[in-house]
Amino acid sequence: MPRGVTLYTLTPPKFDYKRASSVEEACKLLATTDGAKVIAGGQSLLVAMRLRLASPAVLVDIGHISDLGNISEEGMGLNIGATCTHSKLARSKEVMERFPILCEAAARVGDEQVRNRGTIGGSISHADPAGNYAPVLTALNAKFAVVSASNRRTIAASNFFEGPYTTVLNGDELVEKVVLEKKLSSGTKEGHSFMKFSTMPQEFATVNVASVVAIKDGKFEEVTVALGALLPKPRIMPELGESLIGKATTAENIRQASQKLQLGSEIISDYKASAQYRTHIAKVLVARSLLTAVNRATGAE
Amino acid sequence: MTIQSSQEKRTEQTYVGVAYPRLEDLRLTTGKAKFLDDLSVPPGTHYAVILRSPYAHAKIKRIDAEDAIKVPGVRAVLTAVELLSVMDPLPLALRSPIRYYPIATDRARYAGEPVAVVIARTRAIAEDAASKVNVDYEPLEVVADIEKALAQGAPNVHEAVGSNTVWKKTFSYGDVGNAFEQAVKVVSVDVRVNGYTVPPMETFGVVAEYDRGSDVLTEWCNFIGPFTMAYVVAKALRLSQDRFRVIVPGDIGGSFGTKLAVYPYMALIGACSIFTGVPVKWIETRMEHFVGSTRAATRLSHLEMALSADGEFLGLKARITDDIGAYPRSPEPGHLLKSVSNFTGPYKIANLEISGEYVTTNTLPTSPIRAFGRPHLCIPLEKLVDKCAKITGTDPLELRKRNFIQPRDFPYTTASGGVYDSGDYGAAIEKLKQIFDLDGARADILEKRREGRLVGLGFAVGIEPSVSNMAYLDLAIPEEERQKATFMPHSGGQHSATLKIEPDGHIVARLDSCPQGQGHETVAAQLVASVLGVNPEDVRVLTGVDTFNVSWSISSGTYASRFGSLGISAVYSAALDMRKKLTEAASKLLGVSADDIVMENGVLFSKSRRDLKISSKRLVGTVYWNPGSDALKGGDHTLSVTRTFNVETLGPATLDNKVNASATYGFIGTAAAVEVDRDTGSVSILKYASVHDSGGSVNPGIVEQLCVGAANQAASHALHQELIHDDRGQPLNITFGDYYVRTAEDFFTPIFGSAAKKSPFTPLGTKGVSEGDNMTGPAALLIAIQDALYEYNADIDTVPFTAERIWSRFLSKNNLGESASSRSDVA
Ligand SMILES: Cc1cc2nc3c(=O)[nH]c(=O)nc-3n(C[C@H](O)[C@H](O)[C@H](O)COP(=O)(O)OP(=O)(O)OC[C@H]3O[C@@H](n4cnc5c(N)ncnc54)[C@H](O)[C@@H]3O)c2cc1C
Repeated sequence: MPRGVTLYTLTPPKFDYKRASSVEEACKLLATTDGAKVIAGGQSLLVAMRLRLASPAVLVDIGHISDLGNISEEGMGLNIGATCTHSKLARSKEVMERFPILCEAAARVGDEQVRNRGTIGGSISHADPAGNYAPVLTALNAKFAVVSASNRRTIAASNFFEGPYTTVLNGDELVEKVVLEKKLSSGTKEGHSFMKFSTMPQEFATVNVASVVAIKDGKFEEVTVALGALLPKPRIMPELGESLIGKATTAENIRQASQKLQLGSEIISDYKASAQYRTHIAKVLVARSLLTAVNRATGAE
Repeated sequence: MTIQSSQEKRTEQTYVGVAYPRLEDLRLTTGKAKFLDDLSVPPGTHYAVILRSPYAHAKIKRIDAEDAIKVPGVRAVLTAVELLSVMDPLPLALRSPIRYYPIATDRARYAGEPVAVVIARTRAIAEDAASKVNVDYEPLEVVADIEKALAQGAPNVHEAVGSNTVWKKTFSYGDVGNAFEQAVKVVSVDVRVNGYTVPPMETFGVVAEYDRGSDVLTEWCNFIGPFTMAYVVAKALRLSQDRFRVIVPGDIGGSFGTKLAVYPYMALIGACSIFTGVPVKWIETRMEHFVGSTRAATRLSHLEMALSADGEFLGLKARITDDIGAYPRSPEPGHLLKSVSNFTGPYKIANLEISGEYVTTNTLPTSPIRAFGRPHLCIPLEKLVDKCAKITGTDPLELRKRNFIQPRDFPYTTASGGVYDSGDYGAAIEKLKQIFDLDGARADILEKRREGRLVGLGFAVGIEPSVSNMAYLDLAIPEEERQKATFMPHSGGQHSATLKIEPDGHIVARLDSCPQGQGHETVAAQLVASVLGVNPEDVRVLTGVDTFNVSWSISSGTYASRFGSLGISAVYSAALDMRKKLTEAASKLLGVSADDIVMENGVLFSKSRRDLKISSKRLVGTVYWNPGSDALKGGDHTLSVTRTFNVETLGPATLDNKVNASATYGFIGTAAAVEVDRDTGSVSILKYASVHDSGGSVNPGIVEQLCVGAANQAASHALHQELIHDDRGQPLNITFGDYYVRTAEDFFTPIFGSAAKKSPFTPLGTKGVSEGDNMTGPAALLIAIQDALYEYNADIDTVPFTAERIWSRFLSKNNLGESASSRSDVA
């Protein structure tokens, strides 16, 4: 980088390009090539490269590996391949039936062009704190199947994100799929809601909220709310569960619980929104999304 | 495509007033248009990358480009040291010791100011090499806003000026003192309009080729005019105008005024080509556009109205402070001066005083952005009028009507010299009430308020000036100087059109306009087709300018809403001349008098003897191939006409500072209903309607499309668009990811109505139109927000007024979210 000048570039630095035809081949390339980096939809990586904020020596393209973007059912759960695009996810019937919140989050990523190219694997690996999926997958207790040339492991969403643009992934590792499980006891109804707050609908969020509730006999059985965008990484708010579980699913109970939220001092504050405003919006959104989740669970919506 | 029409009978004006489908759209929507970056470049073209200052204010101590120059493929790394050998400062409209170059000399005065240019065989090589340039600075204290610039002991952006105030002046008309003495009430408002821009899709670009053999510099650029700026560039590059060729392509990917400010880059890239001897191409990046192109001024205004007992506007006083960034570049101080002659808008106000102060800061310099300076004026003025209505307990529309210039007053001369052509503002308001369904809207508001919702109504009106009379800038020059015999006053603002019929009968219309989506091809074709009795598709219209090949003037270009009045008039006049030529030739060939000739459906015939006729195709053929025939001998039989149209009221400024800044004056009235989300402060537009007086539109479809865009820009401007920098002058929102621009997905649909009053100053009565909503839109929306927040006694004093501002200033004073409502989404 130059010293003493600001440079607004359009071209990426020189790089090599390799197209992998299988996950194994991709892993091998990553393990054996210096400065290699995975490219999927390119919606974050290419932007960074053109601004010369990233300068990988070799791009390993996983976008052409057949079946890597598939959605498959497993019991009541789902496996979502890493290169599944936001558009595909948003329109998937299988996902809509089981985890509608994920379709909501996918449909609210950027604009149609971005959704047509960007992938779920790229999005979580990129770990933009304002990304839509992180809070949703954390709230859903998702797991990520990760592979490298020498290893294979499963990482829970709640352990995956470390901070802005950082995850626990090693440089030679690849997210292969997102694994979602579901177990519902009889008589329990489930409701989801994702809400994104932004100045314009297509922009990155200033606050994201993912709510997942289980309701039995008009009472909260489970409450999982994860916040995104206003914190360096997604955060589950366990106190909401503590104050709501066992209580009636009324708007008043929800309002009281949301008002009591303590978000701490880590809240992002910038020209887009002050920490104060973000904190306030988070509380509003938590209340609204919980109520929506309840209404969906009980069929009121 | 010939003058011989294949279709049925056509008479004059068949296509005038028709929403004819746009002829340019097939090309534009199928990716076949050629924008600047698509043009082929001269052989040997090199690519420029501009290195910019990271500091908003710093001394440049040393630029070390040694390593960069060694990169294979690099031709040169140029700084002010090299470029000042081929360049003088760009002339300013203001008298000032400031020297404005397109590149920093010893000091950088805004973050983003060019400090060096790398020129290489490819853009990628230039960018590689650019990262090897090192610059040493001595950072200086930064003056990032008006308050700091005017504070005691503030550092000076320009030491030579000795202050950050670069211009200060009070204009006085009528007897303001007396008006305020007579007043029963004086009402005042304060408004701050933050710096903003309306960024186009296509960024700036210049290709410059200096030819040593002929000493001619040719530049291809997406510059929109006025070509006064081409003169400024030639002057800076020490070129006579016959050696400076500017070629603007027919397709420009949006501008909204911004592309006037391509001119400093025309000078910079031109200098690079002159210095290196190779053609140089520069295409601006998106981030560069935000930090280095242009913006609208930041303005503080304080307005006071003197009111009589029955609500008459006796006098208006304004104190205006504009922050115009690091350099007061031309056409500043236009943000204020362009509006001086029509400062009172549609109101009859005989006594007026405007005090203007222009301040430099360490921020991006300014230039006209869609509706140059008028949002800055309309928002406080309409807020003031709204407040007058509240204070006097009058209906806001009735108070406006009471103070309007009346139909019988036209042509009307304002206190400050503006000559308004025509209008019936009261009728337009009635139309507005009707299309907005004002009674229904009011009932709806009451109903929603009963439900506890924060909803409100706002109105704003304004005049829509068209054309820019260069005379207005002379107001920046001290009167003493204007009195001298050596002073040459400026005035006028003409438009040219050339019409030609080719030997095979094809019609070509050549305009001197630089459209950026305004549909000039379609409108010109409709006009010519109507006059010459053919189909619009039969007329090939060429837009864009080539100063070596097009009849142009220093006013040429597309800005200041000028096509609707002057452009249309020039094309129409040229078409009439052409018809006259054809008729005269036909009269000679047929041996009948010219007034006996009728032109219909591609045939010219004698009214009195219908069997005497000639097809226009044969007529054209005869003129070209057989001008020596007995019948045609001795006449002028070229089938080419150029008409330049100017409106006579565009005279020079007087010594008492009266001037008429525009040729025609449309009217716009806007009504808006909004809802404020009690929990978040987010604003939704429930309803929005505008009535325009365009004098009558040649293509109402195009006018409506342009106004839909303007209304949506207005919403963005009112609610969130501002260029944000920190107190060190660092721009913060410099991508479309954080400077939000509405896309097709986010557009709301305004309701439009027409209340046309023909202009007596143009042959078809047309006026300029489509910038109106950029003025009244933000005003009406902000007034509506104030109304929605009536419980809080809200004073909306900042533009934009974001959701967070609404929350932190008003809503947060309440308890959190009484309603954890079930609305499923909030964005
Ligand atoms: C205009 C615009 C608006 C946007 N708006 C939003 C928004 O509102 N909400 C939102 O959430 N996102 C938004 N995004 C980001 C979008 O979600 C991106 O698609 C996503 O961040 C990256 O996915 P990708 O497939 O394009 O990844 P790439 O850009 O190809 O890669 C991104 C990073 O992930 C790595 N990577 C990719 N795939 C894998 C993998 N399988 N395993 C390991 N590492 C991998 C790459 O090496 C790289 O570091 C927006 C993007 C744009 C351009």
